[in-house]
Amino acid sequence: MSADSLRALATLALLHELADDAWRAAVERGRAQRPQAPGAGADTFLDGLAALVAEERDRLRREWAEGDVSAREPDALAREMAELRFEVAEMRGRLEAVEQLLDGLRAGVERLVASREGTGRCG
Amino acid sequence: MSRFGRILTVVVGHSLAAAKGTRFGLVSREERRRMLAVEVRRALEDLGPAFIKIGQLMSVRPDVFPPELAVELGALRDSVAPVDPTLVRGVIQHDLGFPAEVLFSSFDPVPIASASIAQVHRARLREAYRPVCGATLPAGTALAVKVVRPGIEEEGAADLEAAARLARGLHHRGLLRRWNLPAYALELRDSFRRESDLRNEARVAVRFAFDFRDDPLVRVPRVVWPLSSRRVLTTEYVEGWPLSRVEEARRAGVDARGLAAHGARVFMRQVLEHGRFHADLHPANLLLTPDGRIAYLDFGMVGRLSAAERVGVAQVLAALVFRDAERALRYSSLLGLEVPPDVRARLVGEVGGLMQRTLREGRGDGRVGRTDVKGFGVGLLGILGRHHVPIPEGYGLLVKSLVTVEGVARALYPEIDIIETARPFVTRLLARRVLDPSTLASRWATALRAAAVEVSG
Repeated sequence: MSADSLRALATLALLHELADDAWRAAVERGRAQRPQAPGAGADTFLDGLAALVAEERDRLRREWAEGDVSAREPDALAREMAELRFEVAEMRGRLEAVEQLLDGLRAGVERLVASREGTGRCG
Repeated sequence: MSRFGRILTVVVGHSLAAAKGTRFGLVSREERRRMLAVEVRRALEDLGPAFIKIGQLMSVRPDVFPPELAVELGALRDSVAPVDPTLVRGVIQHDLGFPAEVLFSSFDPVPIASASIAQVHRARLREAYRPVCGATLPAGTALAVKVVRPGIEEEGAADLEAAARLARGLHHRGLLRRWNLPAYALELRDSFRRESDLRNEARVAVRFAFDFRDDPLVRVPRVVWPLSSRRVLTTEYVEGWPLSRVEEARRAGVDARGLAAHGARVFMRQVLEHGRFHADLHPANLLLTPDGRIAYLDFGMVGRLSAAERVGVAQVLAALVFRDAERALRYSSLLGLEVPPDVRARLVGEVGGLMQRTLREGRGDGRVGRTDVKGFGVGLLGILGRHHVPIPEGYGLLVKSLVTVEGVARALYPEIDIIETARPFVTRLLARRVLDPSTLASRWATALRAAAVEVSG
């Protein structure tokens, strides 16, 4: 089984927290296994695989808990970064619009005050 | 005469015209419905800008109105007399705080387009601006300044109130109850408000530009946020030919057929990848640019789909590719279409027949068979209507948008089969769905056991 497939299964196990009794028992049996010749049977194979997946899952959990994102796929990371950059840029745009609105309001108030003062002086 | 009285007079006038045109109901049912739809469109045009906008909003709701009417209203030409430039300047100064002369290095008082809700003026950028996506716009960049017509919000609100009154009256008298017009009048009011706030359009345009940042053939005018507000939307001005002048584009060397095929793929990508689609892709909202790209304008109406709905759309499109009516209806349930069991078999038969008539396969002579998505879309909504199957809003909007995309693409490339353009997207989306962790999670134990049996021999 390739490392990628194992990692995919480990991610699956972590995300779905596979923790029923049968799964735990399979992991335990798998951990206790010694190297054997092929053809030891489907259940033995599954126990071994469960142990491998559990080991990879624990490693993944540690990586994620420590915030280590280096293990994530570069494409996915780049997509997330681009999305985040877009959100920030869009927010900047909207803030610029609000800033313009405030500038406009201030200019309006200043014009109003100036006209009132002008009226006062004339009066 | 009061506004309500005027509305009533126009409605009665066009009803009489429809009755006369159909020789008081003596023509065929199809002809009667078509002529009635034409008179409704004419009545809305007579009632002015607010009603034209209301008609356009109705045109994207074939789930509520008969498909013939929705299609006819899609032809409402959005061209009305421009308002006085002084009033336009007043809106700019009110919303942005300064006169147009201060905000722009130049501002043309003569509009280049005048539609029901807003009109567009050319201007030039005073200072360089860094937009949300793409390169900085230098000072002097040509701009399109869209300004909401002064008073249109109040006029629209008053007209919608009058229309709601009419709808309540009809409903109360037991007329047209199937369409629940009073509820729809409320929805229309919300849509009208949403569309007259140009900040919504700005956000959709920016998102669309971001979604297609990797596509060199797609052009979206960039928004200048500091010069935009609720009633003013400033974007860069894009030169190009509207679809009505496609021959000029061709003479200038633009590959219009290639762009039509690409445009259809862009639509499929909007629907199936991003779950956000331009829901008002009529010919006036598209330009072919001199550098051979498609420019998308006017993002006032947009459709949205959840991830689950996207899978539903992919499955339905796959069903159309394979002309499988049962599958189309089964997966339509993911889009909210609920077919009662007692009419299901009959519906499958009718939709299957419709597919045979409209979605033709290749003719075997090497040429692509001409499918008719419009015929299929209108026919499907008609069948659902006849069997009183409620059509979800998003479903109707999607069918209508697909029909519009086909119409636009055919204007450039008459033989295009837009269902075929969906095929690679559908395949990709469904493959991704199969490999999705949650799908795998539900099947992994079975799959692993089968694999283990294989491995252990």
